[in-house]
Amino acid sequence: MRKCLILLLLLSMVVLPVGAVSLELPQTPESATPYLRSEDSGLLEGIIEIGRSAIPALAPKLKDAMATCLGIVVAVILCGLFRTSLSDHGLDASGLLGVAVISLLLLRSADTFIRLGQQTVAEISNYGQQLLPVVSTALVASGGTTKAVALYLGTAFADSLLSRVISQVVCPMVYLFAAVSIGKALTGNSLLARMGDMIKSWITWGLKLVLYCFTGYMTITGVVSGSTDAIALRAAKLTISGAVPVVGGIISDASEAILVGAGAVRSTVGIGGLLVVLAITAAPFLQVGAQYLLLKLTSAWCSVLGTGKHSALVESFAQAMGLVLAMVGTCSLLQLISIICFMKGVG
Amino acid sequence: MESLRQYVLTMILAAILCAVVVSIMPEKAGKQSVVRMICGLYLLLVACKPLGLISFAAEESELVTYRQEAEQMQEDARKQTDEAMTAVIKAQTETYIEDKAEALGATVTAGVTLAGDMLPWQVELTGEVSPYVKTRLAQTIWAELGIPEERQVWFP
Repeated sequence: MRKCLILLLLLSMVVLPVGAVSLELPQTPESATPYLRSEDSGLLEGIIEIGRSAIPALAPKLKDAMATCLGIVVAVILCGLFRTSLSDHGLDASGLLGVAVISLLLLRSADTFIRLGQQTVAEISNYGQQLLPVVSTALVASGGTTKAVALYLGTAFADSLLSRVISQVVCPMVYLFAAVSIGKALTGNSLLARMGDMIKSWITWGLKLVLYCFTGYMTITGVVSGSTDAIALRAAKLTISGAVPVVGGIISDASEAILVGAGAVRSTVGIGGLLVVLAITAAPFLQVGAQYLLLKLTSAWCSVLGTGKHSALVESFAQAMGLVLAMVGTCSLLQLISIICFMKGVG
Repeated sequence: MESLRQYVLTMILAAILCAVVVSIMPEKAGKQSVVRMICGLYLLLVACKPLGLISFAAEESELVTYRQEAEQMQEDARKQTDEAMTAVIKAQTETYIEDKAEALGATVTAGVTLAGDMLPWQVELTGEVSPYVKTRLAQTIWAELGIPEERQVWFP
């Protein structure tokens, strides 16, 4: 705990000189701090440390998830036994009861994970908004003036749009998907089944569209504006060095020092930003991912032990977790792509 | 964004309603097909009606705000970079002059002022030097740094 507090204090005070230009890294969110190394490290070591810290932290959540899945399997087995005894009377009360029990077991955990996903998206977005001016300034100081403005605009707009789409459209749709799945399991209505597929398609299509458009914009903008900046830089250097011999040499040296310093800072800030985004994403992503895999496994067991409708219901909740993973993954990828584009620099 | 959210949720809820209505209708061939047709027309109406009303005015104004923020960031970054450049050029020019004076056997302290284009504009020199050294140094400063004698200020 003490180590974490010291790390928080140090990271919030890191001032990186760019010649004499100072850039401050934004404060690392508390949720990410336990997964970051206390000393400076490269990208690979940082990623390994995040994985090493996040996986053991998964254990308590995994126990709860396994308990829920075990409860579902027991419910399905019991429903199978009751169905056998009631089958002569033509009742499917056990099937309906099984759906009700499975829904009760899964709804609460689904709600927890959807809220966790929403919270993670908000944290990633907040951190990205704080990091954006820092990396943009470092890129301008490196000579990437046009590129920095274009990338800043694209990242700020896409980040704001995506976080709003997720909180106002995607999250309600995931809840609706769960509700439609329960309705489908209760009534067996094919229209509800098609509606569930439609909701899933809309969510994945919408997230992919935002990510593809953003990636395309960043790539094209980076190439076009990066070339403009590179030409401007070369022209400026030639002009400076040709002006007055000694003075030109001094100015050229100063310019080179600032550019090189800014390039180094841009890389340092970029790597720091990448690691923090990965640290924010790691634990929630692993938790939801574990729940997704366990539900898939449970659905496979239920298809052997119980009826098709119980198995399909569990499978639907697994798909809902998949949608939460897609949400968090898309937001995280957007920030990572943005930081990498800023780190790439000019040319 | 709010209008898009309302549209999507309305569509989904309308579809759920139609599904419930179709499922509770008795399965007589004629009646159910009529109900299905009505539900289909209702869904079509719900789908098409608000399309013209969806507005992205908030997103457009956000773009304008972000552009202004980006330009402000660019301006601030340029100022920071210019200040850093000015500091480095000033320090290196002063060191150059002091080294030249030392080569002539004198010790001076130089204070350089830069013009807007970051070229040296004026120099203030402090130190006791002989007239010969003063003349040689003045010529060097003029020839190599472009500062004429009238902008070389000596302090005893």
